[in-house]
Amino acid sequence: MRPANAVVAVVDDEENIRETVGFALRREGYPVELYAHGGDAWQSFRQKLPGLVILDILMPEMDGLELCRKIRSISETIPIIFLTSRDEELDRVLGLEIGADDYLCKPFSMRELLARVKVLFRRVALDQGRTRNAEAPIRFGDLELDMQRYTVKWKSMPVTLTVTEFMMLNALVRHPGHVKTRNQIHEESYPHDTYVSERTIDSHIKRLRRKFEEVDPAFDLIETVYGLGYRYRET
Amino acid sequence: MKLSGRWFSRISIRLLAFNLLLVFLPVAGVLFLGAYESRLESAEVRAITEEARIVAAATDTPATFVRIVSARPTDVRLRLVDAQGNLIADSHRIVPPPPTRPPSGSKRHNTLYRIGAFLVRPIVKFMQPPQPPLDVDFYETATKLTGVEVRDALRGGEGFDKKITAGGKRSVTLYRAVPVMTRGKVTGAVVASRNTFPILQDLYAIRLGVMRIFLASVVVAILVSLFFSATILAPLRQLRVDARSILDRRGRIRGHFKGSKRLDEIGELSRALERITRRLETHVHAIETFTADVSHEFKNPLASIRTANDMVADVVDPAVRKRFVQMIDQEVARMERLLSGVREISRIDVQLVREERRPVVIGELLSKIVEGFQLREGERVRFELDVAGELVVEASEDRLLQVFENLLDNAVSFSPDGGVVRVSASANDGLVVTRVSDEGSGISEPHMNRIFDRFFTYRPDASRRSHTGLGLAIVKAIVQGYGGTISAANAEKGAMFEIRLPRC
Repeated sequence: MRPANAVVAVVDDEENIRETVGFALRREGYPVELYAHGGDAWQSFRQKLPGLVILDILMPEMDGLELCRKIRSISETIPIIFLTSRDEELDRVLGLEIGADDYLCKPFSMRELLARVKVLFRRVALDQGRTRNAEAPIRFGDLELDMQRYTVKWKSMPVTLTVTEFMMLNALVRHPGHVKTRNQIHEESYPHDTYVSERTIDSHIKRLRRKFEEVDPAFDLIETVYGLGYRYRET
Repeated sequence: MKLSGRWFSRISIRLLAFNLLLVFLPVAGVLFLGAYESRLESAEVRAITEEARIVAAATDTPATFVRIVSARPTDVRLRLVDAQGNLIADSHRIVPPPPTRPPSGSKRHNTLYRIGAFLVRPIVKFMQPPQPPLDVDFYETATKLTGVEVRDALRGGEGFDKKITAGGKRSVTLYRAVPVMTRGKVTGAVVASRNTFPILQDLYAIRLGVMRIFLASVVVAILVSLFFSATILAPLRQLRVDARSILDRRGRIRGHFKGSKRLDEIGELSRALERITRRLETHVHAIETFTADVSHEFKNPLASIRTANDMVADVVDPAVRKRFVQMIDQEVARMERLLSGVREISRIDVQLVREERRPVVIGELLSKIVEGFQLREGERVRFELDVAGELVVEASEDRLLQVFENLLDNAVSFSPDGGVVRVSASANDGLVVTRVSDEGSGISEPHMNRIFDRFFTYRPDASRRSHTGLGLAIVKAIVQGYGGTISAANAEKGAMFEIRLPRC
C-alpha cells in the first residue's frame, strides 16, 4: 500500500513538535524531512517534492499558507496536512483555493496524525492504481462513498472532504433517518484519545453542509435535530 | 426605552402638552372675565340705585317726574308707580330709548365662540354668546308693577330685583325701586331698570378676541412641537439606530457611534458617545485579540507536551523516553514563563494607574541598570553609557526599570561575543530620548513593524524557548502609558531602540 515516494516533510518552527512528530513517523517507517522554516522547506521542495507535507500555519518568514500555495503551484496531488493553533484560520485553510487535504488543531494526538498520514497515502496509492482488490464505492441514493480513498461523490460530482468530515458523513449515512448525538458522531469519526468540544462537531457539520451546497445548492439531507444531534434524512 | 410612533413619541407628546398648557393661559383670562362681569354688574346696580334715589327724591307729582326724566337723558329706564303699583309714567314712553344694538357677530364669530365655550364649558357653564333680549323688559306691557322690588318700595324700603330677560337666561335686567314720599307717606315709587345686555355684548367681544388668540396659539403650539420633534427627536432616533447597530446579533460590540456634526447638545452627546464607544471598541478588540493570542500561544507548548507524552507512553527505549520527558519539562517551564508574562502585561494598565509617579533621574537609573548588567555579563558584552545633562521623567521607577531591563536584555541576547551595547540619554524638545543599541544581526525588514507585537519573536531556535515574545510588547505598553513613544531601527551595526518620554 505504501506509495513509491513515502517521504513525509514536517515544517514547523516549534523544535519539540518537529522532533516528536519526526520520531513518531520514522518509527512508523516513513522517511522524514524536518524543516524549521517555510523558506528552507521551499528551497528543498523545488529540488525534490516529498510524498506528503505536514505544515504548521503560523511561522515567521514564509507561513504555512504561503508555502501551501507554492507547493500547489507545482503539484496538484501531493497531500498536505495543516497543523493549526488558531481556530479562525481554519476557514482560510479549508477554503479550497488553498487546497489542503486535512488539518489538525493543536494540541493534537499523535495517533490521530499518524492515522491521517496513513489515509492520505492510501488515497494516493489508490489514485495511482497501485492496489488491486479495491472495493467498489458504497452508494446511498445520490451519495457515493469510496471507503478506501475517503472520497465522496454527490450525483456523480466529487465533493472534496477532509478525512474528519468524511468520517462524520460516514457515521451519519450508515444509519439514515436515525439521530446521532454529537458524542456518537465524535466516537465514530475520531480516534479514541482525542478531545473535541461539541462546538467543534457543529462547525464540522456546518462545513460539511457548505461543501455539499457548493456542489448542489439544493442539498439538505443533513438535518439538525435540536437538543439531540444530527440526522441524515432517509430518501 | 422604546420610542414608538413616527411623530407622537413620548417626548413629542410631552412637548405638545407643555406648549398647549402655555396657550391655555388666555383661557384663564376668560375665566377672569367672569369675575369682571360680576363687578360690572354691581357697578350697574349702584348706578341705577343712585338714579332711582335722585329721581324719587325730586318727584312729588307725576308732572315733576316727567319733567325730571325728560331733563335727565339717561339710558336707565325710569318708571313711576302709584301706591298701588299702577304704572303712571315710563321714561321710555317720554323719551324713546336708543334702538337696541343689533346682535353683533357673524356666523363665523359665533362658531369660534362656541368652540372656545365648548373647551371651557365644564368650568364655566354660562359662557354662551348673549342673545339680544327679545322682550327687553319684564314689565314691558304691564300696567301694574307687581314685582317684589316694587312691593318693598311701596312698603317704604328700597327694593331690588334681578329679572331674567324674557327670551332666555342670557341677559338680565336689574331693577331698583325707591319709594316716593310725600309728607312722610309713601305715595308711589320710582322704578329704575337697566338691561345688562350691552355689558354682556362687550364681554362677548373680549372673549371672542381671547378665543382668536387661543386658537392661533394652539396652531403655533402644534407647529412648535412638530419643529421640536424634527430637530430633537430625529437626531435622537439616529442615535438609537446607531446604538442598535453597534451590537451584533450576539450582543457584542462591533463598531461605534458616528459623531454628529450638530452644534447643539445632541451633537455633543453623540460625539461623547462616539468617543466612549470608540474606546470601548478598541478595548474590546484588544481583549479579544489578546485572548486569541494567548490561547494560540499556549497551544504550541501544549501540543509539544501532548505529542511528547504520547511518545513516552509508546516508547520502550529509556534514552528516548528520557528525551521526551525532558521535552515535556521544557515546555512546562515555557508555559509557566508565558503565564507570568501574560499576567505581567495584563497588569500593566492597572499598575500604571495605581502606582504613584515620582520624578526619576534617568541618568542614575540607567547607570544602576548598566552596572548590574555588566556584572552579569562579565567579559562577554561591553556596555557604554552616555547621559547628557540632568534628565528627569515623571514615572514609577519600577516600571522604568522594567522598560530598560527588557531593552538591555534584548540587546544582550542578540549581541555577539565581545559586542558593545550602547545606552545613551539626552534631552530633545521637551522629551527625554533614550537609545539602546547592540551589535547583533539587526532587525530584518519584514519584521520591523511586528517586533512590538505580543508573542512575536524571531530568535534562533535555541534561545527561543526562554523568551516569551512579550518583552518588547510590555516595554511599549509602559512607554505609551507614560505618554511616550518607542521605535526601532537598524544602526550601522545591529539594532537600535529609541524611547521618547515627556521630560518634567
